[in-house]
Amino acid sequence: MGGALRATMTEAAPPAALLPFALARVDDRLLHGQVLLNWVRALRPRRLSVVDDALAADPLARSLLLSVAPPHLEAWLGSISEAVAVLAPAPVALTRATFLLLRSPEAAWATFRAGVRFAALEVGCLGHSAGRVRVAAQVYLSPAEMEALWNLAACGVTVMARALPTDVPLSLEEIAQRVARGGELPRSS
Amino acid sequence: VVRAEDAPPAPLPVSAAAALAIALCYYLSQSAWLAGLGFWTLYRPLIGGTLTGIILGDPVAGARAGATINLAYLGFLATGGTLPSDISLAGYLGAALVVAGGVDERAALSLTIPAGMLGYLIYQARMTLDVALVHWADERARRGDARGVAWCNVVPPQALLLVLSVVPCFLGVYWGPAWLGQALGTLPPWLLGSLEVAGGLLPALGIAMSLALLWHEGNGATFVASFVVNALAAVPVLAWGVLAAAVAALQLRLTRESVGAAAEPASEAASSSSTPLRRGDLWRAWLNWLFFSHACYNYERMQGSGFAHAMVPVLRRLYPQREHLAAALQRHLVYYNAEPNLGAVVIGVTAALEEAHAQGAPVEASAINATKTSLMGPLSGLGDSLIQGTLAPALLALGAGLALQGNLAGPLLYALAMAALIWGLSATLFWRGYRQGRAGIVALVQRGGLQRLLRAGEIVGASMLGALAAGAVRLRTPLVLAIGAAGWRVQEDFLDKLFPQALPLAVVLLYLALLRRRVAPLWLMLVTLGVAAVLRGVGWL
Repeated sequence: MGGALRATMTEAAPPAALLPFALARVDDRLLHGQVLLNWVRALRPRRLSVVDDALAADPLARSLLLSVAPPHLEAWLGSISEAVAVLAPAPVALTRATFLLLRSPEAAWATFRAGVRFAALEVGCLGHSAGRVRVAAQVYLSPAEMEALWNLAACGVTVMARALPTDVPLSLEEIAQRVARGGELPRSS
Repeated sequence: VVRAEDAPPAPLPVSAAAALAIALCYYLSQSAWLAGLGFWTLYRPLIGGTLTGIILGDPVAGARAGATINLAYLGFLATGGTLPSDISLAGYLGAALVVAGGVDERAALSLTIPAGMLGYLIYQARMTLDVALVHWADERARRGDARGVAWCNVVPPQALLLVLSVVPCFLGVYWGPAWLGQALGTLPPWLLGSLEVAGGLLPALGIAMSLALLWHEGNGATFVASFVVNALAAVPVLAWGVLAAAVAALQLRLTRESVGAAAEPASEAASSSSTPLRRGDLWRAWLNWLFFSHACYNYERMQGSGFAHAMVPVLRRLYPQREHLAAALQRHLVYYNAEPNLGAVVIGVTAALEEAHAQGAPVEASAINATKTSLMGPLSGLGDSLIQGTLAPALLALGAGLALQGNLAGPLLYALAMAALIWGLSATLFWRGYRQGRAGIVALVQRGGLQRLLRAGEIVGASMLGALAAGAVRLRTPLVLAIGAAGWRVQEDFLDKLFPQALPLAVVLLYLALLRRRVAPLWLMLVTLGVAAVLRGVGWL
């Protein structure tokens, strides 16, 4: 099933130039060891921008996340609307140095539609929960989340899945096949 | 230890009992029985090699081999349930190859690369098969069987791990040294020599991988300065370690006042006079976490059943009614993954929240898991940076530096320091989490004490890595340029007169530059083997 057919074109924003980021990553733990050690070591970004409505509204969680970011990175955390104000008009030189973290495929799609038009998205770690099926060791996805990824692909975003910079990435087609099969073994009961 | 140029010694036979003992050490290194220390001690080739040496009757040779192997894997990170290579299996098999097989430790290091890959398959098998076992725990949780959940978290997965780990390690240790020792004897000298050249270079890769994590805020200069001083002057490793620690302590002292002190928060946890949880329940919860957090580690829930197991003493006390107990057990069997040492704080916070919930305080069950979720990511990021990324490599560099000089105090000092660090952090943070709740932990992190410890650890790490690289990376060139009648020897006539360790330093910095251009470490290992073979073949190395 082709991505273009699946996308709801009425929802998609009109085509405009896509912004290159150091990396835009979906991860339901947002900031953790893989992000701060493996990815920051590989990408050497100058900025770490975390976009999450729930965290932006929770002062404790917000200050915890900002205090664990390493001092040599400029860390920022905000809601989707704040991200649009900060990142959408940012020059390419700045977004190229920005490591963007998003909580879920749906949040990524909402952020993209709102105006933060990242050119590529990598699905990092998404843990098991009810309704999600296993796509890779570190990636569990629900059909609704798959839909969000197709919508992004239809807008020209390159979507892949991998946990670490040294992993071979899974293409969106491979991800979709695995979700359609009901997940890779082992099945969750 | 015999060099390639000499006749290889006849490999010593390894007795079945010795092979079994080494295989059991390999099992223990990943098992749940060492109070949270297995992954930090027996899993590291420095310790694994020493134990292998003790079992096979030559502790010093084992410690030296373990230290050499460990250096190549110094910067490997196991973050968020991923594993780049099984450094534990590489350590046990490699050290056995040196001690019993009489193989040069650098050649043995090159030969451990496939062992690390094989061990990764064992890890994957375990992480996949344990998924089925966590579903057994689900079944017992539905019935409110707390002991059953604890049993499922420990007994079947640890029995499975015993079989998965002991069999291949036993076979490798029992037959590997004799077989490989003999096979290497039949190799042409240049090929065996190229394995030794590669083994002399691979420690530079491990050191560069650790450096890549620290390469900011002046740590690079600290590394280079430490390298140069140690290459030119014979400074004892321990003296250099003490000096580095003193500088780090000064740094800690100087930055103490610069971080604004956040106000001590009011406790989030219910602090009524009659708390149903007893100290014993809480200590047992902490111990369960310390021992069994990774007992049934699996791709689907990660530490989910470990978390539920840790909560068992708390939940049994709080929920005498079976249906309440069942709901609470199921609540904690969901996906959970955190760096376990700083993550002990979450066990404490959750115990306090469950206590408040059970007493009818306005703490919703869903809010308990939301709190766990909001803490696990950031604490893992800080915990992995602090322990895996900084303190463990710094202490390993010290321990390996001593072990390479034949000093068994190296592995011992490393193990004792890690035990103090991990038990101390874990217990302190657990109680802090229970007494002060999430707000207390956020305030603690905000005050920046852990970050300052990280910064101080980076200074020690950069200096120890520099000292270590100066001694442990071995590269000299026999290249003679056809200049003048006698020729011009690059090493003796030029490098030795200027800076004898120029080539090792250049190799570390070259690996670092390649890593910073996102070349994969495993790829670099394989390229090193190939390049060493070619350069040895043409007589440049």
